[in-house]
Amino acid sequence: MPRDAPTPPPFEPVALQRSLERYMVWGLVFMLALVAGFVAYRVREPGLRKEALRSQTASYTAVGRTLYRASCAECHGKRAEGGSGPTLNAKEFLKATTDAQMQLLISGGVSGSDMPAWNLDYGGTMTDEQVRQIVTFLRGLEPNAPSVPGWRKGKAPG
Amino acid sequence: MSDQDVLESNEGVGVDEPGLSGRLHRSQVWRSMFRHPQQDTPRGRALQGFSNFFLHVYPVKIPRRVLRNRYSWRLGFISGVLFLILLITGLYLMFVYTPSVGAAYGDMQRLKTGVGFGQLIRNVHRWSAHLMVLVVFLHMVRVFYAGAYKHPREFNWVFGIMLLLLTLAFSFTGYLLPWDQLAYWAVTVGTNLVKYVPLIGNPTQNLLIGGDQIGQSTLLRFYALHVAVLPAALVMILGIHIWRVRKDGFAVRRSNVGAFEEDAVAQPAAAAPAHAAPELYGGRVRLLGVVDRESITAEARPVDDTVFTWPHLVVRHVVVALGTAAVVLALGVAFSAPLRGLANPNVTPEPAKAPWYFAGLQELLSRFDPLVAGILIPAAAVMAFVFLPYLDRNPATEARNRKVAVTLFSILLSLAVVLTVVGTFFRGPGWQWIPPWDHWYVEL
Repeated sequence: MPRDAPTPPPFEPVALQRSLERYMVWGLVFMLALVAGFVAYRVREPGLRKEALRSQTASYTAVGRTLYRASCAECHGKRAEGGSGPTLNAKEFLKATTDAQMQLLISGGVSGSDMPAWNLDYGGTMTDEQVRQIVTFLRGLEPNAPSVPGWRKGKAPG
Repeated sequence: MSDQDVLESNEGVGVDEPGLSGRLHRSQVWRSMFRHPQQDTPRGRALQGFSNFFLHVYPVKIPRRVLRNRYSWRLGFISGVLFLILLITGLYLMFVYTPSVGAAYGDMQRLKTGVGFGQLIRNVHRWSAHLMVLVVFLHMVRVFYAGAYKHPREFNWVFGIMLLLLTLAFSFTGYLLPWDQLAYWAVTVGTNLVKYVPLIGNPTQNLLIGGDQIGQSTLLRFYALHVAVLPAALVMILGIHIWRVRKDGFAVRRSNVGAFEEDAVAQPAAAAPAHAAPELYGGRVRLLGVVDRESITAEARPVDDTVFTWPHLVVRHVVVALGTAAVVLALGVAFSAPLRGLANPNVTPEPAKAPWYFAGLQELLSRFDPLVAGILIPAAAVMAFVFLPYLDRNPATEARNRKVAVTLFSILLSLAVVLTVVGTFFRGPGWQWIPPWDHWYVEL
């Protein structure tokens, strides 16, 4: 089309164009709503996460305590004070051992000792989740744990 | 100048535009991407449609009534948008989720506590999934009342039923993945239905859940179905479904009597009388390959009630898509997807309910013999829907001319809705009648 060609007359009703423009305005509104939605969530997210973490820790601790009493207390003592197995409610132990290390010890057991492997993957009875719950329970003891330098020995039977 | 020449020469690309945008539109890079002319003329718009990959899903022109929201309520389109949202959010979740009994539940909690936007994406995924079941169903209802399943669209209705079933399968397999009590027991109740099939019931259930109890193999199976098998099947069938809609011209005639006759297709489009243009439209598109190019250009078309798809329908669709996304995002920000305690086969929650879209079935089960309620009635309903366009030979599309079909369908629809509402809202422990205002036992 040559540069100086006259503009062709509109071939569609003006009403059609108008309704198109109304739609475009709505599109803009929705786009802003989308951005606002993400921003609103981002603002709330840290609080939501903290709350979720708190309630997760609480429920893990509760379930972990039950699991501990059922499966671990026999050797490690009802209050994790130690038995034929090491003392777990000990500042020295809890400080020196990360969650991941504890998970590994419970999951795979300790060869050469009476500690069996608990995770289903190693022929035990617990899921990863349950192991994590026990670890959360033990970790919860840390703030009030007494100092037990000889925690490895536990308490001699009898 | 032929249309091909116009496309190749980029005639009129930004020639009149001053300034930076004009220079951009005239640049070689731009013109290599958008090869159609920018003329705002009927021919220009038609060529824009022809030369654009994405616009090929649309016909170049559509009857003007398709632009009205009341025409279809855009339900089919919204279903597609929800599927796209589910695909994107689902990919995000796949990066976090492990389909293992030991890890799945922990991953759900990690979404809450440690993954950026994790819980939001999960919320959006969940609400979109529920909405998609609802919207696909409403789409089917709308298509029925519009008589849009009639010739030549019979088989596309069948594809639609397949898509509805696939959507349910999607939602049901996804239901198990969080591996919480809600997931475990809803799927237990749901898969127990299969047992009632005579002879093959137990083996089928074993095949479905990979054993006689829901466990690791069920989770892995449902995961594989949910993220690989079902998406592939749905994309495939959805592709055919949409392609057929497009080939059928996006609209049903208001009076279907004598519509879509093959003689209309057989005539050369250019020879068509002016008043027949809208009906001829579908035929003309099909003729693209055999009619010579000049006879199908837009300016040869007489004045009719059609409008250009680009921009009118495309812009509306984009806006509806944005609106749908905004709604599910708002739902995701406002309401969190539920996560109950870790799945525990030894503790049955009260009440143990199937997902809401199967609650009607569960309600039926509480009233009839399991074989009748769990198998015969649903199988008969699905078969009736599949064969509907072949059983209903009445060509009329207006409700007043098809009273029997509309009445029957409306009765069945009301029954299904009542059963679902009762099962979802009015049932408590032991499947006792407990109204939602006394105690809220609804889990989504």
